[in-house]
Amino acid sequence: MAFTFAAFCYMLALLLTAALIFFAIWHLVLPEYLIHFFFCVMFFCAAEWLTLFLNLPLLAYHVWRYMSRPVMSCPGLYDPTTIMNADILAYCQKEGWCKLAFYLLSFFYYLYGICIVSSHGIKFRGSSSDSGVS
Amino acid sequence: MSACTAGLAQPGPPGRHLGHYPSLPPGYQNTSGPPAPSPMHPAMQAATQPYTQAPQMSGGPGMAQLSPSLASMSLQSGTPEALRVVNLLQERNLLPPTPISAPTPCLTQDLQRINCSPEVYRCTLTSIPQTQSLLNKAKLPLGLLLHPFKDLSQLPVVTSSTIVRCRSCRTYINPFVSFLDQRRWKCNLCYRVNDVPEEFMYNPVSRSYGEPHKRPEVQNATIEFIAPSEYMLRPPQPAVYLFVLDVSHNAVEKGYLNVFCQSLLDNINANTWNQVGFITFDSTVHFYNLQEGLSQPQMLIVSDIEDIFLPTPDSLLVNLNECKELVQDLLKSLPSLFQKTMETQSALGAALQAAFKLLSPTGGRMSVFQTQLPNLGVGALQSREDPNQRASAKEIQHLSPATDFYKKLALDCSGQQVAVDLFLLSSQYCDLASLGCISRYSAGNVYYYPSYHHQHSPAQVECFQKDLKRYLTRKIGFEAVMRIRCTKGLSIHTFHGNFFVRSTDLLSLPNVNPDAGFAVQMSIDENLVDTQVVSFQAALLYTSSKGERRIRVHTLCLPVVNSLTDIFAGADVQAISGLLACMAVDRSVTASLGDARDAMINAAIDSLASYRQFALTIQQPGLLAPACLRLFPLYILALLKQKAFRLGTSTRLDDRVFAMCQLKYQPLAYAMPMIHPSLYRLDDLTDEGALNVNERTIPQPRVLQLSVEKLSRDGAFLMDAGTVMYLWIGRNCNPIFLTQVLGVPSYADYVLPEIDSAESQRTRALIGWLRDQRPFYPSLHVIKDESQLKASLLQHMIEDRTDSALSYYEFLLHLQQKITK
Repeated sequence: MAFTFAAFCYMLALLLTAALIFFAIWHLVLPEYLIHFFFCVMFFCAAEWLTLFLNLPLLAYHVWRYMSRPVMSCPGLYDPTTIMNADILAYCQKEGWCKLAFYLLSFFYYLYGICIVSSHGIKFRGSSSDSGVS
Repeated sequence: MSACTAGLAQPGPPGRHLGHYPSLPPGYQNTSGPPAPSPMHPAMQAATQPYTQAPQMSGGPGMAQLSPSLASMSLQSGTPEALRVVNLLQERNLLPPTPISAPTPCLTQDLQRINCSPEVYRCTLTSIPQTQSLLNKAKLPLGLLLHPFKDLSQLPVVTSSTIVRCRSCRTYINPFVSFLDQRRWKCNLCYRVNDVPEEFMYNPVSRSYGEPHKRPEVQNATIEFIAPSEYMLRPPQPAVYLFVLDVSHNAVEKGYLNVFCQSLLDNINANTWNQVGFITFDSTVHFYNLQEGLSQPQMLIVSDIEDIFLPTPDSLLVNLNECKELVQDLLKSLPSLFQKTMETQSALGAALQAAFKLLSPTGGRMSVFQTQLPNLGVGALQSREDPNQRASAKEIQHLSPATDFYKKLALDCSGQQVAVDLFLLSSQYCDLASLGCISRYSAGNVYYYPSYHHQHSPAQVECFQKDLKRYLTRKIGFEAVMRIRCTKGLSIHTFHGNFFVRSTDLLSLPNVNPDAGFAVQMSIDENLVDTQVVSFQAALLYTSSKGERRIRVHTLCLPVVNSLTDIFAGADVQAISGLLACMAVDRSVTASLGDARDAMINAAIDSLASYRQFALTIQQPGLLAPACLRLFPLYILALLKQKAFRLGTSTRLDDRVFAMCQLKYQPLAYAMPMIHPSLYRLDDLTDEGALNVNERTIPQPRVLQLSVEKLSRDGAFLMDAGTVMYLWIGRNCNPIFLTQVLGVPSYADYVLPEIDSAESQRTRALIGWLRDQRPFYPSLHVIKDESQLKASLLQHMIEDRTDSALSYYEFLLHLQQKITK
């Protein structure tokens, strides 16, 4: 397997997505947002535009969610006095499940991405070595 | 069990011996006799007119068995009173002559007799719809309004070694369970079959064996258990009362300290269990060392308000019995100690933090007296109100807290079982929206005396005194939690009131007091097809002020119906208005006041439109409503003109926020006069139809509509608006009334002189009876025809048109236009 920076990005993303799946269920909100932001930065540096565009909507949603949280002096998303209201609770649970589905899908997408990018790397190496022989 | 077969157990310490019933009223002992009078206030009983007549069931089924033909109960022959069609545009006199009572659920007489009193437990719809879609079609909110810790005249108390509860849902056994045979009972909330424990088979009241359905737990819907030690997280703590007093220059000028100290000296209950402490603050925080050996109380000043600490580890909270003289010395010297103070700053946040540190080991109650905006140290607030926006017709800003310091502190307090009550005696803006959070989430209460001054407002001083007396002497429960359970298929999704919701149905109440009301909203998750009645149980676990752990259980049972007509027939219009008020308060804080007002109007429009479309058999022109909902538009208009929600009339922001707090906190019975005041004519009081309460004759005048059309120059009228009463004297009032009741030519404007005449006695009896019915003390103002207070009186005339609001008739036309669009 050839190691390009893109392949490295995908591998790192794969590992961290596992962490994100965990955070989506157990609601560790700030680590989840920061890790996802880190992904997007990495894909931007690796020039993987398709993957970046797939992740951009979620990034925008995270930014909006954090900006519109109830007035609180400490970082965090859930207000303890209103979270137990069934409508807010239902919304947060639904949000958790949707994000779980998204992270699972992107897990497999990154897995596939590693293979594709690495095989591109091999083909590229292979074609350059071909030209070197003849 | 040997105790069971040994016969009558000897009386002994509670919880130890089986079958010791300390106070079982005689009415509950013979269940096969004629129906016992329900433990309601005699006034309620006299005025009760059930809107639906439940037909008699001959050869009635047993108490604990459900009637199979309940479904056929609903409304057969002819239209019952509740469904009589009323054209609101044509009938002007909608108010009944007597005070309105709660509708009776459509149950068999046996079940209704043992059902929970509506003063404690009330539902917006006394006939529950079978499906959520049916409820959506009716467009009425479904919810419960509770007053669980109400002072009851008859409360059965049970001491038993086993408290029988369902194994899966942990419901307490109640009158509405069914006994399959002598040994098994079926829970009415989750339908699980449980075994009857051996001890439960013995009935100590009738000393018989084998009749578990005659035990008091299964005969009373409201009952109190003495809880064994499994129900305690820690051994009962002493009852600790801490008073945090503002002693800045503003406070001294208002002069509340004298009244407070005198009240405390008169009313404090000295026993070995209570502890008290005092903290005063201005720009620094002062503690008082009341150790037993000292000759006089020692004041310790902490000026480091950024990082407050307790100066001594103990002796700040002392037992009243041991240190009575020291406490009395302190209370006598406190007012004069700060007489010459010139401090204008108030470090409330630091004082609260110090008080929390002091109370957190044991829990207890903190009473905070504040007279100005806290402007120093942590928790300092800005003056956010713009006086020019008071009469704004568009939007009201700043209804939500500015900082969450007080909310977080309240949550910390709630975790340590500390409740904070706030007494606000300020005439300037105090940001009650932020300060009120300290009480709201710690199960405390806010008391507000906006124009308090010890010389200039004697009426407010009297209110403060009487409220303090009630506050210091009423019953209290510590470390309480409440759980509300419903039959499978129903679920609770929103709670209203002063508490912290710890999990989806567990309410944490550091203090529970008899004046707090709660409301919940419910939804129907599964269709209630295989059941004819549903039950709701509220269980309140608390520690009494004597250190005993008790559980108070209320169970309400209501029928399930399938048709929209029956739902409308069972609608409780006062409960619906109360619940809508709570929902509107929430909506104004999260969204905007305009949204909340629109939502209330839409509630009226939607429900009347749904009635017209689905339940009305003959279409007539006009605005038609069933008789049970005929007052609904009136109450909605009253809410729209209430201080909490009105737009266009100049309202101080603190007054508005306080009105919102009261709408959420007060039980329905006390909130209704605040929403729709009662107007009576006083100069022609007679003894006709009078009530006899405690050997006093209370005249019952007719309730009038709130329109100046009903006021007349030659009469005197009393308006009862909950927290305040107005006695308006017309210009040409009957001189007999003036001399016999008021003692003209000179009379004080807040107190009725005690003249020995029949008219004076009747008037004073009526006013005294109205005042006794509620826990807070309404101030009475006597208004002559040209007086400044006349404007406040006229603001309550909701049926009239003002320059910013519609009259009642115009509102009805507006509704009709929206409905028939």
